[in-house]
Amino acid sequence: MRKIALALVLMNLLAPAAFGAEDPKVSLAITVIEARKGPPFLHEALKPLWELLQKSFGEKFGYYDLVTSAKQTVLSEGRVEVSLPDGERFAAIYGGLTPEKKLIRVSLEYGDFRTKVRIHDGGTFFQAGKRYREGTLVIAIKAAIQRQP
Amino acid sequence: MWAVWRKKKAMQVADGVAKASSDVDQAEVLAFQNLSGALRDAMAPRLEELPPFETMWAGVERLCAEEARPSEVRASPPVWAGLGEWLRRLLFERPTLVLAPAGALVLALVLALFVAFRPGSPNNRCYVDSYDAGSGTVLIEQDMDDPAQPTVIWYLPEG
Repeated sequence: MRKIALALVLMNLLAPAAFGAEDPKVSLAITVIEARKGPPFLHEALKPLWELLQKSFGEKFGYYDLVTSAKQTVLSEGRVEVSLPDGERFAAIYGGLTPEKKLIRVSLEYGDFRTKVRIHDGGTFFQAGKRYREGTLVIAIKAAIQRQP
Repeated sequence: MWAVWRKKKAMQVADGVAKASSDVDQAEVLAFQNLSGALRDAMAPRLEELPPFETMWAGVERLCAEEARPSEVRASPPVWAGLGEWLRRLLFERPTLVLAPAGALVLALVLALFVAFRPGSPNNRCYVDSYDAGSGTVLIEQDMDDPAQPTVIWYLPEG
């Protein structure tokens, strides 16, 4: 009888940790952009990013064309991948939420480059630098928590 | 001069003010008498048509009595009645004077609501915990004072 009572107490204590602490799903969006100097151009699909591109790159580039994009809702440790023009795979991996501020952990992987970041829900950041044609590849990564309806 | 005096004399004779004399043309006297008679005939009916003095005086007394009444007793139209009429005339006779400012007011209200309830920009602040690159250079470009400013992680491969 004592063993059963102890087991019930332990279940009550551990159940929230086991089930309630599960990280929510996150929507990860990757947008690969060809950016270069030149006549001003913005691909139709990049209009939502226009303000951020201007803020981040200002006068560095004037021409923004869409190369490829991918968007997926994933659970923790889920990854979203796109193929870059040179055939390399670019991956964004969701690493769960931080316990206190609920920041979204995201890892990026391509070639021999690795990085780990934490961003706010709905936030966007860029990875850039890979040469492409006469310009640079700019990759926008946006992560947003998917709330249950 | 003499002709004027004769005509004046003839008029006086015709009116019975002066006596007839040999130097007055009787034909002229007769003509003036005819003219005076015609004028009297023309004026006579109108004089008869004038309202009697008693009626006119009764009207004056009535108006004086009305003026003497206290002002609050007299029924005066309410102020808003005139305002309503003015607005109605303005709306139907010069609609642009009403509709243009009303439209501008509605537009201003919509803009104010849009600005007030516009969803805020997402927080793009990004914390880079680690990075690793076998070769090449990594640069982190960010402004931690501006949460809307996205971070750029530059990776410049060698070669």
